[in-house]
Amino acid sequence: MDTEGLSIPEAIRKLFGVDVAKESPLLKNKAMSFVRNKLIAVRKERKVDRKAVYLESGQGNTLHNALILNAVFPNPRDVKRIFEDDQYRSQCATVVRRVLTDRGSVLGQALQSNSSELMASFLADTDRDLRRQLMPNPFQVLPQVALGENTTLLHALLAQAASLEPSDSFLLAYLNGDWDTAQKLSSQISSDSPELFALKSEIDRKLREAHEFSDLLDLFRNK
Amino acid sequence: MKLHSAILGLSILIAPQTIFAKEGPFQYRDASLLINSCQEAVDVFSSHEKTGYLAAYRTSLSEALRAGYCIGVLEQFSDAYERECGGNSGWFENAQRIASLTLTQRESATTSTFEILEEYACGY
Repeated sequence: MDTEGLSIPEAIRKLFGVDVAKESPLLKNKAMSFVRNKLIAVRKERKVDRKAVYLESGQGNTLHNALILNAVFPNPRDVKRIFEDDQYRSQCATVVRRVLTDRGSVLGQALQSNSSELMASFLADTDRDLRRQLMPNPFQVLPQVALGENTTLLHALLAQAASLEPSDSFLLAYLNGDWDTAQKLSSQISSDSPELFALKSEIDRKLREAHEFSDLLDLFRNK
Repeated sequence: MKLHSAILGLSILIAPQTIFAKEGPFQYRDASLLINSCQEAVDVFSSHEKTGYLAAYRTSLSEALRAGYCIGVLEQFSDAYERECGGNSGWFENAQRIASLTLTQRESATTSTFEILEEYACGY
């Protein structure tokens, strides 16, 4: 996304639709710490009473991805290292997968946004450039915005909760009778846990049965 | 429905005590099972037309079983009485005609399934 010449708050508004002045000074501070640790390149200009900071070209995707990673990794130094160290990045991808997709209750996983898995896959694939491509954002609301400073204690858990997105869940789609969507979403979820596997198989079974029923109706009608 | 009303009148005269006695399913004089079943059959197929394979989601097991009963009875009847039956409309058209019937409680207890079939399952 083109954010060249924007100030940090303007860029955040463009990327996440968040007005940092009103909603989350913390998010702005986090972004500024990426400027300070030189993950994000900026141009500084002297204004009358203070220095103004503008993004250099091509920094939008970096800022976007850094802030999403920051939702899981609170320390800006760790986030910077993910950009620079592929081996560390792979380890962190495992952490993301644990925190956002593997650890929850079965229901939590069933209600999990598909984009959590997409984010973990993106991070795990070091061919995908964190500076050039937008990483899928699993958060409806960035945890930094929703929670402010109190993010340390239950950080992982809250990050997980924030990534739950009912509209995207295969269980909900199934319960709503949207079986095509349910099957599409459930096929994208890894089913390592036996409980989740049971849930997925049940949905697959129901769908198979429905198609058989439909075929039988066709047979009876067009005899 | 002349035959129908004649029988209705006759049975009121003859056996007023036993008219409403129902012992179980598939009673000779219980046309309502067939009518209900054909209503389910029509419903299942119209749901199938509207929602495709999701018809399974909207159809319960008992609805499906009733629908199957209706289809089986109509098919076998028109097959067995092929010579006597005039028309050649399919089971679905016959089911639609039967599904549109509404019998009073008395009528349904006095009308036999066979009479309904004779009148509506032969195809016209």
